[in-house]
Amino acid sequence: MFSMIKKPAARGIAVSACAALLLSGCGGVVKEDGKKADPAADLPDAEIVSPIAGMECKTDAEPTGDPIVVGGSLSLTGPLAPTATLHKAVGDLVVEWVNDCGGIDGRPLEWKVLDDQGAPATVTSNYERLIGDKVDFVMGPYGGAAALAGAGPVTRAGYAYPTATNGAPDKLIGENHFPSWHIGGGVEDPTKMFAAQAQTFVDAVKSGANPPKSVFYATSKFPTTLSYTASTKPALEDAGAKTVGDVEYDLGTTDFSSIAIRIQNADPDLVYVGGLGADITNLYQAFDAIGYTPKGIYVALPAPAAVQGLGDKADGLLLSSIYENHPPLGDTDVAKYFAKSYSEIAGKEKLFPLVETQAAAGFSAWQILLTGINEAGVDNKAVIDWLNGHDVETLVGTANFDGFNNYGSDFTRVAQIQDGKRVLVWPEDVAGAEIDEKP
Amino acid sequence: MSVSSMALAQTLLNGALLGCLFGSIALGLSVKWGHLGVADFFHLSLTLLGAYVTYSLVSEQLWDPFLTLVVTVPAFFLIGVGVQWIFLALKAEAFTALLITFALFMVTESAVSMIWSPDLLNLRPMLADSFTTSLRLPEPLPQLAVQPVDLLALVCAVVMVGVSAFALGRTRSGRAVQAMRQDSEIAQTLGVRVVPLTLAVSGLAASTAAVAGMVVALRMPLSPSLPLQWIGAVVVATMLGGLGRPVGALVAAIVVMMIQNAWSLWFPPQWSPAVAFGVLFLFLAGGPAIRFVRESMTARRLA
Amino acid sequence: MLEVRDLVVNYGEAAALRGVDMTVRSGETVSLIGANGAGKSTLVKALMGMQPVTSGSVLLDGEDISRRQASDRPKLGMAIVPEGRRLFKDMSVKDNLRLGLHDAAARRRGADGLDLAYDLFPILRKRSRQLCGTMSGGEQQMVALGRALVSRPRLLILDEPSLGLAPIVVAQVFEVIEAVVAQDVTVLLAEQNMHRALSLSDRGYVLADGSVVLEGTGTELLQSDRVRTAYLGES
Repeated sequence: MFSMIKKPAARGIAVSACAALLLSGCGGVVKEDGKKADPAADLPDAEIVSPIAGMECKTDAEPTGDPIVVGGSLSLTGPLAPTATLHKAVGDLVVEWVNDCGGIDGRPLEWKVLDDQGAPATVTSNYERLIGDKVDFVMGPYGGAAALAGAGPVTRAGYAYPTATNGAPDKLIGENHFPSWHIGGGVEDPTKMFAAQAQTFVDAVKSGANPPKSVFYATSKFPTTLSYTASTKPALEDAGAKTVGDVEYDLGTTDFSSIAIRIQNADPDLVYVGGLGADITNLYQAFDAIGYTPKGIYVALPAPAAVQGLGDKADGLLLSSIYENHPPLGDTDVAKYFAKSYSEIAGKEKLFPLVETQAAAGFSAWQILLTGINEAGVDNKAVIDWLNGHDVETLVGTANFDGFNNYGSDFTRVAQIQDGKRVLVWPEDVAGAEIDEKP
Repeated sequence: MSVSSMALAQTLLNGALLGCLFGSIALGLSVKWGHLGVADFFHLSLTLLGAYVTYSLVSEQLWDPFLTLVVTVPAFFLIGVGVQWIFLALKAEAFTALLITFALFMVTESAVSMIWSPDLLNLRPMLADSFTTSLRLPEPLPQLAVQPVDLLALVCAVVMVGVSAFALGRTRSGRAVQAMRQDSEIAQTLGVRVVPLTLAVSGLAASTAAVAGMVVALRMPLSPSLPLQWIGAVVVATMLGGLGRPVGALVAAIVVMMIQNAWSLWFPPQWSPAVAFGVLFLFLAGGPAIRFVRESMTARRLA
Repeated sequence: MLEVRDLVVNYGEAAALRGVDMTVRSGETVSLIGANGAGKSTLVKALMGMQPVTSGSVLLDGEDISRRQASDRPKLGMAIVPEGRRLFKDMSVKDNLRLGLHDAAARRRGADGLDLAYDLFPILRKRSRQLCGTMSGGEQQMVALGRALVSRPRLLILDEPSLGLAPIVVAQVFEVIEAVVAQDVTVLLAEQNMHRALSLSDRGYVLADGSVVLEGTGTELLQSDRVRTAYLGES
């Protein structure tokens, strides 16, 4: 018989013992082959070539003289850092590449980056400071709001403004704006900037054997994703896909269990996730929890690592993209050398090692700027004039700057995960495979 | 939108289990806030840190997740002791301490970004299928599913909260902790040694973050800004449960998450984070209201 | 047993005790009397280690304890019933009494455990689960006395035990103090209620403005004109 004092103690020990048993019972939590496969492992070796058309790569010539300085602002810390560090890596890579090729007209290239922590006000003051320091050129920041915040001082000072980010395409920047990623490309009406990508998506799903007849929309409350959904929903409805659910969730939501249950209840042909970053991972986690597998699923702006992290479950997942590393776009010498050297620098920075939308857009923005400098010299006014009058060959396609806000033709494409690889499935001229739709 | 009762049951179950995880995090915050007078937001960062360390040990060293506790629990105990020692050495007032923990909270986010990259890290693809596949509940609830990791969260929460509640209420040291909070001076004249006891409580609270962090690493993809997602639910649970009350914090976290999830089933999910604060507001406003009604009824009876 | 020598305590610039000398012999009951603000509470706190000492010494059996921490007091055999009782109000009667036995040395001496307090105040046994914050002032004073007594201290310090209590309760409290005094416990009683304090004390010290102004046996002090005029309000 226990005494009064010992009873609760005994109970506590019993509870702990049960817990320990239970814990050891579910042992073997980690897979035997736990290590991740490196998606960049089978990239072919590549020879160094000039990063842009119209320039020669002289690997034996050391660049000399005053450097050509490009200033930029990136969110190296703060919530936008995951993608901004990628753009930093691309910039570092390009500078090294150009200098390995003997520089521009024999002069070395240098790039000076200030951290803006994702705060638009800091972006503005960073560009004011860079221009005050008399940098020769500027490169745009990461993030739609940041790009707009930088436009003021850059445009006033008469600098060319190459950008790789296009979150708010209806906001006018001006004739000095040279975007590499054209959401709103080919569209003249500022209220319909997302119509082109919506049409591309509808065409993509219609090109397959089993276009969706019912769609459930789940959209993050973030300007770009809201615009994506707002333009895609009527386009899909016109194409005969019934809306069976439509919810919005807070930016950064991690618990998707109720949304997953709503989706399970509606069981649509396609789940349209207007999400970004890790939303897709958290949503799949919630699907797992209730044992549900969606018939088809599309995500607007997922982090590449998030998609990679889904493993086999991601097969069949559709996403918006402007570039994936495969022929025909990935078949050029420039693309091969970029893919190889990017995978090396990304490995060091612990970034997703394959070139996809963000890295391709970042590199293309540099190609636009470098082409302008190479053709027109170290003079912003001349560069702006030259770029406005010519097309530029970039990694993601031929860029021109003729339309609204200097946009050219639309580069938005649709990619799918097939057999663990990211591949463009629409439009046909850049596709590496056909869309795969389960019945 | 019509929702079946089974879907509601599943939602409530998911909420309750997620509540267990938040309750495990709230436990340390509640104990430190209630008994040491420090609203320690750094506790959330420690949980994140625990998750990242677990991630590294499992993904790079291929350790068993439970084995990582052998390292993280003692290490976090020392961190907890160290932080509290700083407060004692600075003779920090509650507000100063709050500012320091907030600064540490910010610094940790940046440090984690730098050490582990700001990108998303996910342990899930490395976990055995048996651990990631949902289990169906036995009859009579065959449609309800539950993840093994959520069961782990439940066990961890119940064990940690149970042990804490037992230690606080039923052991000599636990009573000393309570006494110290209520009247430190008198407690000392009774032989309570405030400095070692405070350090130990802080260390133990930090140790719970190591365990909660392990569950986090197994449960969700990691990103440095996660604590900002938790802070609402965790602080509400801490306050709703009564500062310094482990069982209260767990129960409150479970209830809040169940309400939040049920809300998201019928109403726009984007408002669900506000629901937690709504519950707290109703509770805080409701307390005085109930007291007022009770007092006026007593007064009437007496009159 | 207890010897206070030239004890000075300053609160910043202000002097609270200006060189107090006092002796309490083993087994004695000594009263410490004086008006509000005379320095009684400061002296009690200094003895218990709750108040840093500026200069001078407090000798317990010849050892200077003036710089030792408050938490050493149970080990030294000292216990206090503080002014205003200062119970742990969110805890039960039982838990409050148990805290009297927190220290290992206290547990060794107080081998009877809580029974000592329960026998002294049978009502506490019945109310052992009640939270102290919900009890009346008199009941709280019983808990405070019980909390100090369960460890069977060698030196018991009582700081204003009758303050704020109803007269009938005051009588009850003093009955207990008399019972304690009758045992082999040394008692230092700081009290404004001089008649009661002095009548059960062997000796007394009168404090005024931080200094001892008079000392003598209880009877002597009760009959002293100066005490009567100054502190008993009689003229």
